[in-house]
Amino acid sequence: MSATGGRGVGRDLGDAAVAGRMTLRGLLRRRTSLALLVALPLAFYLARQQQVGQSIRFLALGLAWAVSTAAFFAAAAARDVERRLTLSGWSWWSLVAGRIGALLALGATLSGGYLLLVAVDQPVRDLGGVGIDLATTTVLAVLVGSFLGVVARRELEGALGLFIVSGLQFTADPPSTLARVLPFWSTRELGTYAIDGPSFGSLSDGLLHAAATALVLLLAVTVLSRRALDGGARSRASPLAAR
Amino acid sequence: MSPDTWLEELSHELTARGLPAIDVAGIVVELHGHLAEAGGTPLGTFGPPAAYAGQLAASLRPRPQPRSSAPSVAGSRRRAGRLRIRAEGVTLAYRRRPVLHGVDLAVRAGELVLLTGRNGVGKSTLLRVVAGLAVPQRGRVTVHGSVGYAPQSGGLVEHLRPAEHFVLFGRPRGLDGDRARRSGARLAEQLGWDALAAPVVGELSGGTRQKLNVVLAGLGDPDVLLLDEPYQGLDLDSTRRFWDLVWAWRDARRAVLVVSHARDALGRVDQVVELQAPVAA
Repeated sequence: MSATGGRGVGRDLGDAAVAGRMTLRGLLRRRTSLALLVALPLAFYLARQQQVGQSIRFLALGLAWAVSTAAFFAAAAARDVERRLTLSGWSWWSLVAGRIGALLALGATLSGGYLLLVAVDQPVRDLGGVGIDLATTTVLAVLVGSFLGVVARRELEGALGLFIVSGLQFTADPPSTLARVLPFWSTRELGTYAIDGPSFGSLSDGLLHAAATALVLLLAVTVLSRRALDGGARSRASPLAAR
Repeated sequence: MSPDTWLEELSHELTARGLPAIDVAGIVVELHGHLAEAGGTPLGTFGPPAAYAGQLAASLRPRPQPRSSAPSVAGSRRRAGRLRIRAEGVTLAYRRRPVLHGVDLAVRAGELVLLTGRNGVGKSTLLRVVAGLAVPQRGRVTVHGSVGYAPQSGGLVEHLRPAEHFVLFGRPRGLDGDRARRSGARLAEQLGWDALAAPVVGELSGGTRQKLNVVLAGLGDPDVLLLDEPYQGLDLDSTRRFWDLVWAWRDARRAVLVVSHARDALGRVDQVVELQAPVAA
């Protein structure tokens, strides 16, 4: 069975666009949260503004933290209403795709703004490399937050999970195995490539790690979201029989 | 005039107009809760006690149109149509604590059923099972047709306006943005609420959120309506309007299942199902 459950792909894409627009509206109305979302990477950046390399590395990790937190809380807040909407006839796929798409758009705007800041404020060797770093970090952050949103039953549990992941990525030694199994290892590697050059960081290793992590997270979000949201629709389509 | 003095005077006025003591007590308790939730002074909100008592007494008199009152169970059985909801032997435990044990339920098109029982006997859980939001360990549930579900709480987006909810909930039922907004506004108006002018959900009172939940459940005319404590927090006039709306749905051949422990609901439905607490193993 397709992800769209046999419905028209065009209709599901239209539904996803509506769900995404509503998610964005909800996020943009949270003015204080939005201001803090912008402030978090900026604070990290300004703390090391005098050091070119460290300021960009900290900016990227701040961006990872901010966007994954936004994605987690968006997923947690949507849990009840998405179940109710699937009961009303929405496909789980449209709802999840719309929400993730909205967060990607928000993250892209944020990372685009910060790329502009770096371009005017730092003598960067490879601005394109920084752009790749921030873009992959945004995608990974949305998926990490969405994953925690579907596995953590309560907001506190998910928030603490985020602290562990982001905090460990800060503290773990980049060449260590621990750092490599964490989702934002590529952020550090791509940042080093952009700042210090190919002798110190590998573009291909960074991209490969980001792609593999994104794939695993996307698969997990898809499977778990379907399990969480599609149950109601299945039981209505045919008599629910258990033993 | 303090709220307590206002309520006491209202109580005297209602009694003087011949309302039964138990109804007067219910009204006072309900208004007390409403005032605590909505804030403001009773004099400013409802006016002088004597005048408001007069309005209440008039609205609580038997209504002249028989269409607006619930027919007898036998009458409804004659009119009831195909089976819409069937639950057989539904058993569900939560962390080894039995919540439902061998529960049977049947609701037909054109039938209004009240699911009642003491707190914690599993009324809302059974409704969630019927909606497909909870899976029983044993038993069988069949629902024929589209479903509109109003939860007791939650199920809304805090930072979206009611009109935006109408667009979201109307879409899978074939309503485009404008039609969804119009249909939602019309249903809300039947509950005495101007939904299109309302702010985001996070700024609505508990009673208004319940009105929104009821409207969303009814949007797009689903075949089956599942309403969990739908008039909790509603004022008297809104409660009366709610029942008018539910009877209209029932008359339009919808199957309506209402969960409530409010005593006044007993005389307004076609069938009452009282859930008993399961015996622990």
